[in-house]
Amino acid sequence: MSFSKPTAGKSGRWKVRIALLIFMALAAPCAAADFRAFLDTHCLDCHDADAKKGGLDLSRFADEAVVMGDRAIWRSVFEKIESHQMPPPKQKTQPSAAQRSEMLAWIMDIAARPDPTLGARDPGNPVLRRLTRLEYNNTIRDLLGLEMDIFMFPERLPLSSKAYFQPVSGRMGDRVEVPVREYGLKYPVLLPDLSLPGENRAEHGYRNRGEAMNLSPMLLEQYLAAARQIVESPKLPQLSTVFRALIHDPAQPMKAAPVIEDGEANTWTAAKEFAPNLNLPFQAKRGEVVTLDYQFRFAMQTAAADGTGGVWDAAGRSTVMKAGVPIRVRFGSKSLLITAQEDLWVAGFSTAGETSGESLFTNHEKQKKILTLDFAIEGGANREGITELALCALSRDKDSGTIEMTADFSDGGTARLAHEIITGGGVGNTFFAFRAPKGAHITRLRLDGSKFSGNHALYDDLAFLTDGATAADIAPATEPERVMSAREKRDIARERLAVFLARAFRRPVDDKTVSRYVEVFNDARGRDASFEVAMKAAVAAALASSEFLYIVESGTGRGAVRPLADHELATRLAFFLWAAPPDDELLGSRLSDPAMLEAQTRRLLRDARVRELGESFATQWLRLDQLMTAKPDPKLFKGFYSGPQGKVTLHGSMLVEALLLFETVLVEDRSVLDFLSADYTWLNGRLAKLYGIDDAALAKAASSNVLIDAKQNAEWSRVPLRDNRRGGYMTMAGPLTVTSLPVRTSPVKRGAWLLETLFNRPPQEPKIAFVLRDDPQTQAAPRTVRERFEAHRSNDACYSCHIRLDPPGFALERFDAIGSWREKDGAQPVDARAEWNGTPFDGPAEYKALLAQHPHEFTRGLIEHLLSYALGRSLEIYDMPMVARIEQAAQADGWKLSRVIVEIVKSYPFTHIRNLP
Amino acid sequence: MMNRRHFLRAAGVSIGLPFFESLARAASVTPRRFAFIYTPNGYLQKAIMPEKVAPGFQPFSFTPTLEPLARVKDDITFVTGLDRQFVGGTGVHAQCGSCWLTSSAPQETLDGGFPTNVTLDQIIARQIGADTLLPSLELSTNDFADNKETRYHECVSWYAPGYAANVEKNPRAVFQRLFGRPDADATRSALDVVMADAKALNARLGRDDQEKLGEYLESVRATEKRIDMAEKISARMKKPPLAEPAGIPEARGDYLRLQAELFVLAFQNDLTRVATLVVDPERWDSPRMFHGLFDKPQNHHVLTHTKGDEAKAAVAKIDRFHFEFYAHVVERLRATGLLDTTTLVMGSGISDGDQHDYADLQVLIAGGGWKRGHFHYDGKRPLADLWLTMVRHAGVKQERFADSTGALAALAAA
Repeated sequence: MSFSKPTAGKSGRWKVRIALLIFMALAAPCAAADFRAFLDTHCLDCHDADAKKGGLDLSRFADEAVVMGDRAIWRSVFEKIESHQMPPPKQKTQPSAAQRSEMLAWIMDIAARPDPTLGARDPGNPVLRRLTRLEYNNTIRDLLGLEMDIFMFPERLPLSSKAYFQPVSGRMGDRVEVPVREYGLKYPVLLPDLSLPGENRAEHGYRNRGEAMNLSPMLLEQYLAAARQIVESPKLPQLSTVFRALIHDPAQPMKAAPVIEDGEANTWTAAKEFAPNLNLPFQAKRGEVVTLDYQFRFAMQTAAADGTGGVWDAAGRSTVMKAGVPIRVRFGSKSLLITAQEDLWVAGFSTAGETSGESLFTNHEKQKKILTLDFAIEGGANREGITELALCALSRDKDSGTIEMTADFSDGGTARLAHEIITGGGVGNTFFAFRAPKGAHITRLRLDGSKFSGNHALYDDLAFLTDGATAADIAPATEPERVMSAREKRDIARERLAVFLARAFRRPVDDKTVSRYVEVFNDARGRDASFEVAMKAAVAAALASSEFLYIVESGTGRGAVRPLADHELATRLAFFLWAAPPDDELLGSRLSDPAMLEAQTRRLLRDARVRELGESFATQWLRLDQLMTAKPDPKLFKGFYSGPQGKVTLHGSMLVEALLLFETVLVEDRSVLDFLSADYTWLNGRLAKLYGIDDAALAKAASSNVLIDAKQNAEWSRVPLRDNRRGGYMTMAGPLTVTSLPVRTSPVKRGAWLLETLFNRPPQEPKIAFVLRDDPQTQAAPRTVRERFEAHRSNDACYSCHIRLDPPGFALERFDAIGSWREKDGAQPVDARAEWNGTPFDGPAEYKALLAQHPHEFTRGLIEHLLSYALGRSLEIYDMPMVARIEQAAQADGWKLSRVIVEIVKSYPFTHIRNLP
Repeated sequence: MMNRRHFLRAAGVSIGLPFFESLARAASVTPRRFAFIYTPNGYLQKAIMPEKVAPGFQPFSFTPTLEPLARVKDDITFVTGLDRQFVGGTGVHAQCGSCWLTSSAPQETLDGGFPTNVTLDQIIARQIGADTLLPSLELSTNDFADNKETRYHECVSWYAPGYAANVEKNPRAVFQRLFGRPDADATRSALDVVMADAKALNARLGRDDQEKLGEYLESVRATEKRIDMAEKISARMKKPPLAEPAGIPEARGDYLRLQAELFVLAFQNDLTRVATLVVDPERWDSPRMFHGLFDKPQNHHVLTHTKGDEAKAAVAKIDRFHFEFYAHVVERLRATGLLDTTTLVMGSGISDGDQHDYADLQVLIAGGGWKRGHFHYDGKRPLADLWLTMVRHAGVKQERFADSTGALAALAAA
């Protein structure tokens, strides 16, 4: 990437500030007397005991001892003086540049001194915090060695595959495939019905702050219930070897997970994936029989794993299935037998859009569009049968008409559904679903396509759920049971629990603690529970313990401040980079050795779990967690919506572009300045169109076929940018959309976003509740958004904040409310001129270039954000010198993200903690 | 300031009471119940207030927003003109809901810059909630998944400074908590061990962390109590009074009515006597569907700050929708025979949403013990005076509440 050379002259003031701030620790602070002189001349007119403007009295700081006793307020004094908000710009007597920098250096020196009450530098005191919902999920996932999430939660980004993300390779490549699922769509997890409440973000901070998180009886009960549901999940023993080994009765042989073999001509293996929602625009719905819902669809998706269902996707071959010969669809160790009374034809049709795969099934004989399918389960438990069933009827180019389906139940009842299938391959695909009455099964399905035009009525994806026990449960034991005393079993339980608890609590556990859990085991055994059930009870209790739910850093050392113990540091580090607990290697590492700490940090950065730094930190940092609820007006912003009924939106694409930039910098260990301004970005076809960027590889986007469209737009290219209009976060569609209203842009929101996100200097909240009451009302209504804000800004009370807020907001007026470039706002030309730190600019490219010339505001802001996220607390005055030091080290290493992270991890506040009390 | 450690402790005292005894007590004295419904972002003043309003009592005028209340007019009291104070330094919306019911005076900021403290509902719960399954119920119909705002925008019920009650948004979870049958033995066994863990942990923590862990310890105690209660209740209640909800209903009105139905049924079965319901959080800039009201999603907060008649009409429509809902809850209380012993309050933390005006608030009260009609208070009169009146109505002997100046005697029914 290239930046234009800094221009001489105008940046005089800047040079002083940059030099000052980066090397603050080295700058000579002014003598004690000088700070009083500075206050007298520039501050005390407004901020003495009488005037006390803004509630601030600086006159009480008679000497440095008083300052040291109450340092906190000096952080904001520093920020106000540094940003030239104070003394007020309109005041005549201004300090000289040298005076200003001396004053700032003095405050920085105050910040760097040992805390008088601690007698040591203050490492800060993060409030005891519990795991966030995301961390809770990840912790249980890793503890049990699962590949999937435990439950669904909205912080999980809607990417259906993250296979492209390979941090160990150190390369992102130039093309990646990022399939995005519809937001809110169910996806495979251990417990689809489990939910927990999420955390609210902290004021100007992240969700992982102890002081912003509460726990009340309701939440505790939810943790208790969740733990019980997790251990009782029938799927868990199949999916987790760790769990199986933990709970299995030592007197019993271990059961192996079922093996699925591929079969012969008439045998299919049940698919796990059901038709993507995007290609099923319609649902036949009527009465209580039909339950098409995501729940149903989802149950289908995951049932394959526990042998209680699956999907027959008539895919992959062109063949005729003879009437009366059963089609065998294997799921788990069982099979569904489908016996058709007519010949079925499995084939691909170019006039249809299959719901999945490239083939479908239909009547083999032309015009014989009535099919009857009988069902039976082979190899299952007694009387196992189908309880729910669904089938997709496919639409076709040029043909249309009603499809009718009738299900017969074992109790003699029937249910009938009919739906008019509209013309057009893929556009009228319709989902028919049935549920048997309680206690009954679906035994037969009659497909009546006689009213559908053409020779064939087409179907795909027959999905079924059974009421059968899981495959593992019915697998016969091959080894005989061993004789074992209750005491022997209890000893084994104790051994296993000791190992499990140390991992669950992320620290060494003592015998007393283990005994308590053995007691839970004994209690349950006393109530006639099996070994397995009793172990589950103990595990469930551990998952609701404060030792599991809270990240504990309890005082054990001497003195007012102590270095964190290795296991505490391992936990901090893992939750920072992975939002997950430390693995065994990390827990076993001597992290008090700085070289080991750096080596382990770099190892964690190469592990796939580091994607959470993007998913959790970056999305919160950039406020992209709010993107999914942005609803641009469909009439004004047609480009945002596509597909049938405008259901396909740009939300996912915008999210992915932003995520890919973060991940590129992370994986390729690039300069963090890419976040501010980069000469490349990642685009799919839809975004290339929104940005007006021609790219041959992306040109085929926006197909009228939603399935093809989704596939094509999952393909992302790294595109070099010709100019500085795009590149970096502030000119990306996602942030530009998040900061807009449904019908128009909001320069104030964009300005506030930029100050808070990129610089970590959020504008202060208005001190008065009635901010708009004195808003001058002009006679002739101003026409552009910008003119309206100029009017507001001319108000004195609003001016001091708006000189910071407005320039970025105005620069970004070049982008409309969904981030598309524009020359006009309504009928008026956009005016994107403003001034930043005394230098005029026109438009986002020039504004970005200005920021990039002197990136300190940005780099400091990013480091502060990351450090605050890493520590789970807000930053205080004593952190300022630490941030400066990290910044210095990062600059010396080309602003590499890994260097920023390593320096944060090695920093004093990250490795130390205040001791008791 | 209420000590955090005392939270629920008072309620816990009754654990030892034999159940029949508390039942007997419940039978001899008809329990009072209190519900507080919070709506965000104020009300469109033009549409809710009559053109002319005089200090003191006056008959109800059914302005466009109040009109849905006509059908319950004999059961309601409309109080206007009471004031709150905004405290500088935090967001103008953040204090609307979080400090609506707070017992701290505006300048008593024990929670950073916020005057959050134990709220009116929790003080009442400590007084009258000890014998019930849940001392109080905190509900919300904010189903936005992005959690974009802080808890100050989301929670109106607080146990102590900085200690917000988590809100339950899913009717199914509320149902399970009220009517579910816990596996009492297993749960008790788990509670024993996690309590022992937490006590051991507590001994290793510094003071600040101990205070935080106090939330956990207190929650374990409350849960132990609930398990005991639930066991006894399930012996007498054979069947829940409604079917288990599937989840969050799609239509806005259904969602609101279902959450309200759950607290009405909880009242009816004496499972709790105090409830709060946050209809929507403050300043949550995400458009939402108001089914049957508009054909596309609306952003309530943005509408309050949008100029022009169209936006104002939309705000009035949303206000009216919430007043419809209130009338519905009054009717449900009447139908279940609870109305005379219940106090149902609805209001917002600000009056004019566009101006963020903390003065001249509107409050609705329904239920027994209150005079009917419209009472207007001129000049400066703190909202806390109404809360003081209410807390005494609940039988709490209290001289002051936050910045109160004296109870509102005129509102009490003779």
